[in-house]
Amino acid sequence: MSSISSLFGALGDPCRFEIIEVLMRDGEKSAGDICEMFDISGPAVSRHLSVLHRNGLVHRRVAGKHRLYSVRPEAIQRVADWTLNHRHFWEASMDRMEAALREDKP
Amino acid sequence: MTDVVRLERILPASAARVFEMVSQPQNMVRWWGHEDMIVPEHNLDFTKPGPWYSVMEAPDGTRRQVSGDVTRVEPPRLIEFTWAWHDGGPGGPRGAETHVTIEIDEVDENRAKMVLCHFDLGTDSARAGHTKGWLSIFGKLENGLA
Repeated sequence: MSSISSLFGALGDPCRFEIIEVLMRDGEKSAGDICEMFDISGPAVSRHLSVLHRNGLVHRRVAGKHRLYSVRPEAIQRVADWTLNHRHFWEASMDRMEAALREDKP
Repeated sequence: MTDVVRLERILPASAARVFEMVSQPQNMVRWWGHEDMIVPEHNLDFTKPGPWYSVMEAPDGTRRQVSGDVTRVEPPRLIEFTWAWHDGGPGGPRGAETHVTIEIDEVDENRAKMVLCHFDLGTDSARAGHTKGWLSIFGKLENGLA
């Protein structure tokens, strides 16, 4: 699995980010369908898909003449966990901070 | 903005007392860390600028290290520090640097408001425009995709 920074790196491009959003919303799509949704060239979309695939953000399978792409939920989950973890960290810490302050009350 | 975690609490003590709790080593060990994790190694001391680190251990024995620099201390109102996880656990290279500010404001003599902001969690400056996108992704996750 890719490192968290490479996941963020792959998602850091607006076009790739949008591809992920579309795949999350609509589910599996062919490279051709994805291409039609953007104002950029087929090869450019291909390159973006390849970056997403290389970094573990999308799953790719071949069906007949089509290459079908879908989001790998575990990759997105890792990104979300990483960010949400910090909220959990601070909430748990603040809970204990509050309890410690109450303990110290005379 | 999903790249910022912001927490606000009213705590049951004066601002001065809250500041001591937040910053002094002997007090920090009482609250620092994830739920269910212990802190077997650290040099936590936010009373003065300088480097800090903390190793945290989960119940399954997995260890993670986070470290940074305390960059600003203004008792009893403000603490700022940097924060980065070490990739692959203790001793690994430091990952992306993020920033934390803790602000403490007196409400009355027995209560203080603490605002904690953890910045730059999902972005660097190049990605700053995408926070709305993150929000939508996390929204979808909560709606059961993952």
